Amino acid sequence: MNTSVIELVYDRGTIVLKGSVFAPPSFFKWDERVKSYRALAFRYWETVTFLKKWNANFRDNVLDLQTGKIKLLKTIKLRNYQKEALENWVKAGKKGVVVLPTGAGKTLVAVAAINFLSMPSLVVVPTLELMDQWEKVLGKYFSVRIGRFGGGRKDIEFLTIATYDSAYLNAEFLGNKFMLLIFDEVHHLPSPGYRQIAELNAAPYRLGLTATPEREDNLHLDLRYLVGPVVYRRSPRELAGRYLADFDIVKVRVKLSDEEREKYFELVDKYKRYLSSRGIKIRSIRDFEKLIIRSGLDKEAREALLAWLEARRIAFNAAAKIEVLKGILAKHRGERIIIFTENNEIVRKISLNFLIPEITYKTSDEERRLIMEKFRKGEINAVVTSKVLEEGVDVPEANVAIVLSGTGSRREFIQRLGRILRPKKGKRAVLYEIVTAGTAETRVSRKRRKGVS
Amino acid sequence: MLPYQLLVARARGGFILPSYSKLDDLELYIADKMIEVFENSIGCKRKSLEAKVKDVENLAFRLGLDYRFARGLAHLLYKRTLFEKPETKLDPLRSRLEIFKEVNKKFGGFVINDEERAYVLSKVASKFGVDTSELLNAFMAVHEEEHLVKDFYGIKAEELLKNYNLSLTQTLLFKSLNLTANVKMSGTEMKKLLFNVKKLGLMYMAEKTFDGVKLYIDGPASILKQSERYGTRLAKLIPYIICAEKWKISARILRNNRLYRFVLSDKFSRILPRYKLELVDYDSELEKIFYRRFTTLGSGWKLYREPEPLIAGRSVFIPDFVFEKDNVRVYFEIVGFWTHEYLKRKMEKLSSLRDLNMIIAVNQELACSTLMKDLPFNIIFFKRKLSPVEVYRRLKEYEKFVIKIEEKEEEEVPEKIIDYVKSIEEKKLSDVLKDLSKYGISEEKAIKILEKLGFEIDWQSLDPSKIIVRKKIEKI
Repeated sequence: MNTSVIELVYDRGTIVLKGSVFAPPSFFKWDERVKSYRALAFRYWETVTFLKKWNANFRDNVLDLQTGKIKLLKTIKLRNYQKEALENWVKAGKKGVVVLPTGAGKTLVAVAAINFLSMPSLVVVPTLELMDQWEKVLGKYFSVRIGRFGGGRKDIEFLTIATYDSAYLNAEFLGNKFMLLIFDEVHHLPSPGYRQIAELNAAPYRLGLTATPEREDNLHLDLRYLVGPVVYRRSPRELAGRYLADFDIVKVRVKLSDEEREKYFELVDKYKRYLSSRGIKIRSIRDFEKLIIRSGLDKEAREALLAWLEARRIAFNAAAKIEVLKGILAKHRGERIIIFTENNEIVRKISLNFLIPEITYKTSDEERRLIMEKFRKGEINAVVTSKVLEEGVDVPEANVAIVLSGTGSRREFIQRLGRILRPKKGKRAVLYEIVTAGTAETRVSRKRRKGVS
Repeated sequence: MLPYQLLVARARGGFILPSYSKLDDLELYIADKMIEVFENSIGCKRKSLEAKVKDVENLAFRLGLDYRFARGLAHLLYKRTLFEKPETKLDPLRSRLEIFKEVNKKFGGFVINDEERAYVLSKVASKFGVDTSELLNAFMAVHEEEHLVKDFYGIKAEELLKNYNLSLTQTLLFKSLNLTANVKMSGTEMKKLLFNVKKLGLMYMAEKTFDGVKLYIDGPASILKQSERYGTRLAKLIPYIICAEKWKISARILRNNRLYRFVLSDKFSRILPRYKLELVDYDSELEKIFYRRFTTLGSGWKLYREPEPLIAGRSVFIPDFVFEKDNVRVYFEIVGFWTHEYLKRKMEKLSSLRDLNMIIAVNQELACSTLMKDLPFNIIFFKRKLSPVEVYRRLKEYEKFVIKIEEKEEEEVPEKIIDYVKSIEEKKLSDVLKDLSKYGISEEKAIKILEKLGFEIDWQSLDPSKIIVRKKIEKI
């Protein structure tokens, strides 16, 4: 019915409708710079559907897909809930989020989804460590070239794994090369920057994976349009015992030494005195940020802030914690242990004292890989880490986690807990939390635990 | 560029401006101190450098400066510093893995007291044939703070502060939604700027201003969603803008969920670094040869490469050359071998530039050379070699045109008008204009005649009834 030819093309994260004579859907906007209508790339599929509905005569030049063919090397054996998750996702139009606890095998759901579609796919992960793991899993199931995009590499293949950071920076480049996007730890995606990975991509099919989609800033609501609705959800309690190792949480309180205690309260007083002298009330992170800005030029503000930091450091890193750590380690010699602490200085101290390998963001790629490989093989039993292993890292059969200090983030806690939830026969996993008694840290700990109880 | 948390900026009334260094004595003093710390740390461990840097930061703060200022300077200096791993007898990674291996084999994952620790260290040390302190050196050598300062690329304090100011500007722009630049710059500078706009995946729209070009720069998705996505890229354009003869930038900045406007201009040039851009290479060998041959021809026409930018529609066009003779300018563009897409774009641009003197040389071997015929310009077709003589022949047409314009200006003034004007001793301009209009002389022309016949017009007011016309008194 329409004789003039319309061309739909991809332009750096957007789609452009060239030579259109009728009004396109409202998400298109007129772009004077190219004298055509333009929309964000994630509207691609909707646009194609729209044009087809109107029998428009159009040329679709949007996708520039990676070519290749998937060959399955190994049967994918899904547990019941994994099967349900996949079915729900397919029914929802191959768009949606699957929520499963860490250790429940989210990756396998994604593997099954890739196999189901057998189309060029991009997996987006938060860390290089996870990139290694995905590469391994995908290589186990599929005989197909696998590309790494991030950490200095820029290989695009039929199956490609990218970090959120490089996928964000190169969103324009990646935007028309895949049919399926898989977001591991999808709760990262809605942040103002990362969301552009989804918005500037034309891939019609999307799968998000996470243990906890909720975000404190409520941006998880946007996952609906970035990825799709939550199509399946199971909590740790629902799967514990049968599919996941059962676990205990042991809280160990340590006391500050008299000297530390004196210093601690002196510092806290100094901080509080400053606040009350200026009539400042700290109710939110925002208030605290204001204090930081104030400290740029205000000497007293800076000193108060430094006092607060030092008090916190004393509380989090009390000397007694190292002693308690020693005691816990002694009880679990030969078992699979991960020690978490927020402070890089403490990581270094533990590594040097106990001769335990450390993994921090500063650890070289080579060493990190070697250590993790040896940990998986059982050649190394204990690892101390700061932030790097926080998320979704597959550490098989680790059964002891020791949280030496940490922040109040619920997610962080659950994920660390997840590390030890790998099923292991006849074994209960233990999570130790070492908290300094009578300090601000106890409050942080309460907040943290709200996530699991 | 600086980490965002080191950005110091003040917001007021919807405007935001970084707290620039004014290059005052105190700031210069701190900059000098900081540079000195780096210079004196060559050969030292990174951790000792870091400690000394902290001392300077504290000093600056005690003297009343924002600690982020000193930290910002340090950040720029770290980037000028080369670090290297300390030399150890043993390979650091290998000795670490060996230690971990022994710890796991003997003690199941960790050592728990001094005896166990000493046992492992001495066992591994003896295996490598070194003492334990050497082994521990290797064990620690992987850590950044143990690295040594190998080299430092020095800089003067004033230059450092100027670079700091540029970095503040760029860091503020990380959170910008778009950038408007009013520039008066050479074709070479514009070419570099636009090359970078393109390379960074940005887009622009150009407009002519009274003495330059206004560029509105953002990214493809900007019209759909205002985001900071392009901020870092926009920041990278700043050095190419501030090198212009005249410039002014304006940007919308998102900070703490509020929109601010940021404006900066060449008034700030004193506190910003000065970049000199070199002429870009010739686009082709053909241009290079033509330039050489034409300039030795002795045509009387001056030939310049990459003249000032022209506005074609919404985009900028920079011809390859401009010929100049007296006040006449003729642009010259050589279309050599290029892709079809390129030619199509060039055609689009050229066809919107109707009112210019332009000669275009087109390679006859080009498939679409017939299309070029439709252009409203003087076209020369050539094969392989472009003859400068042929170009000169075409230029001569413009020489005639030049003379014509001058003759027109020399148009004779009727006798009776000259008589009238010469009779004036001193009169209001408004009256003179009224009288002359009776002879059918326009205001504009009347003023020209007055000036030509040696009258002085006292332009103290814009109101003709207050302006006095009087005979010029010859000074002796």
